Amino acid sequence: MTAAARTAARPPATGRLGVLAVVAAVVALVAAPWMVDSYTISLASKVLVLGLLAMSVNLLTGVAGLPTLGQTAYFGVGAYAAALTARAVTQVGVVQLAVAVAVSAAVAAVTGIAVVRARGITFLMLTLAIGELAYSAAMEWSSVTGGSDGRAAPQVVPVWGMGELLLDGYVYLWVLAVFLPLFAVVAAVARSPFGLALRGIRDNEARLRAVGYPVARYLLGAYTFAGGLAGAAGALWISSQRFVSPSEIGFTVAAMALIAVVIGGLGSMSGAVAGTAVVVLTRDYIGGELNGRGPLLLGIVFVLAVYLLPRGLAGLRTTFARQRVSAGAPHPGRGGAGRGGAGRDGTGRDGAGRGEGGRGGAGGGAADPPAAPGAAGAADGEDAAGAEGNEGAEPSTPPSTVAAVAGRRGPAGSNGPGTSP
Amino acid sequence: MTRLLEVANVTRRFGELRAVDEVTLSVAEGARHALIGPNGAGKSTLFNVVAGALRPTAGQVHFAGREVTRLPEWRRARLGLARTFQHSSVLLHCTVVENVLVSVQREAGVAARMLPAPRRRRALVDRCLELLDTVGLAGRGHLRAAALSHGERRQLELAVALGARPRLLLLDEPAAGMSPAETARLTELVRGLPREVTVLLIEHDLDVVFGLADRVTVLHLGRHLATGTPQQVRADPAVREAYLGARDATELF
Repeated sequence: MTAAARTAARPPATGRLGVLAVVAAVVALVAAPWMVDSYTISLASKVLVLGLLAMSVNLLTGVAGLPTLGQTAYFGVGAYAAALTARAVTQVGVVQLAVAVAVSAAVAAVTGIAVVRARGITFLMLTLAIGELAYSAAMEWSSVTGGSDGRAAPQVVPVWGMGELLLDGYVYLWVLAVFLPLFAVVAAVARSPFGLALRGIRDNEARLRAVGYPVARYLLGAYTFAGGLAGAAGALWISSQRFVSPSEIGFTVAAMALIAVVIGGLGSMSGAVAGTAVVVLTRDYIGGELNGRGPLLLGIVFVLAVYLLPRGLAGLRTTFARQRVSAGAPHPGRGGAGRGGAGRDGTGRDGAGRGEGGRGGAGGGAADPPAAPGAAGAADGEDAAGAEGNEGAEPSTPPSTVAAVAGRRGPAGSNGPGTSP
Repeated sequence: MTRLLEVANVTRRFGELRAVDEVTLSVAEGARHALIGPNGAGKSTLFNVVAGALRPTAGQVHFAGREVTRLPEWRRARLGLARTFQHSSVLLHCTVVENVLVSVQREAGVAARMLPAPRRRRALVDRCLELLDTVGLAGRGHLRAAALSHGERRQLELAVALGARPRLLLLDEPAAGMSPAETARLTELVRGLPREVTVLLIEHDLDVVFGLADRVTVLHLGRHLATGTPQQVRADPAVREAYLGARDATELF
């Protein structure tokens, strides 16, 4: 093997631009309480909390290929566990968080044994049932959950020795302090060997079984992990909203989390959070001005997102990166590379039901990845970086959004979940 | 020579159909064993029974001196059974390197790690690149697997199977849909595999079969028809009649 071939196949270390973007994002997030008003900052807390929920949905749906509507169940378990801990045991946030994660992960592990055997639409329906069961349990088991009145919780004390957090800005900072490390962990897991195995299972589980992967165990592991993550989101919900009732963990929330993931781009964790921001802002911020027509607007945004952004918000990054490259280093054959991002994997089988693959394929005909890596120079490096997963927040892009949500088996069509916000 | 794989009286039914009917077959360590027969002969079903994707209705499968009849597929894979699929089964949304990495990381025993380790990954990726080089996909590692041609996907499949360091390599029609040049390259590649890797292959291209195999088994309508050296099988009148549908078909070989 030549040195050139090696360089072509392996991207350089994380790009300076990527590091810069991450640093800028973190700085902006930390500085936010000093920049905006208290209503906006409480919305930001909400985005972060529901963003974690969306990330747990994304881990299952975008990475492992299992479309789910049931993560609200574990979110709810975490929220009630944290609320009860706050009322009966301690106001200390880290304790509530630990209890919520432990309980919700345990519940996910037990329920997961049954669900991870199903795939596609069946999986979706089973998780929907789990979500609805959790909702009913929260309604009926009033001695614990308070029934439809819900449970309120006292102000959170992040760690021992601190005071109660009374201001929205401080609450936001506590939520952020939990959110950032969790985000880093989830992004790392998505890029780990385990994460690659999950993506492999998504693409072709028979192939993975044939090289020695116990597929059901891997999926159960992912399901348990995602359950714990949703539980952490539940605990932070209690920290920031100080109240949980069945309507907070109902179908609407599950559908919105899935919509957020689709808008953000399946498989992309930063996309999931960005998608959550779009959903929350559309529904609560702009929707408030529209006399409660937020959900309608959200529906329009969702439809537009699916049509205009086949890879979600995360897909924009790739497109911009490619445009930057082709503008900076023009060379033959890369002229019309703008749409290449969509075309690159347009040949995937997922396109069948939707005609989406066809569209991608048409774009790809002109702007296929360069056949000769040597000739493509900088552009190729960019390709390799995105695809190989050593740069950027996520490894290779998952299947096109709608097709993947609708399930990887059979002619599931595109009208799976979440079209009714 | 020791037997690496023993299939004893295996039957597999689908409803009333006996897709595989009391077939006995043994593959010697280091052999290049071909499984041939007309469509519907039960070759792929037998393959799936050996690999563990299907349970036999009756009979036993022994691999490396161990009964594996009831062992799930992934456990057999860990014992050293690797396969390619008749219909290309690459991970389309992953890169070419990632496709191989899936089996290489599994073989290295690190597949369940939940945190990335760049140095370890680099070492594993290097092994992937060597494998890709071996199968003729050098310089293609960074591409999305969906961007590969059909023939290249077959080559990739082979790299994935080899990445598991198999003792027994099951190849299900590896040359199907390949150009003559690609087929020649494949034949060369399989011939060049070390003798520690035993090969059992299904193939319709008889040039490939007779160019590679030192032993040939013929199945017909689910039953075992003949086993022997390529010369013996070629001369067997029963094989000619069943497989080629004619007594005099010398020109077909």
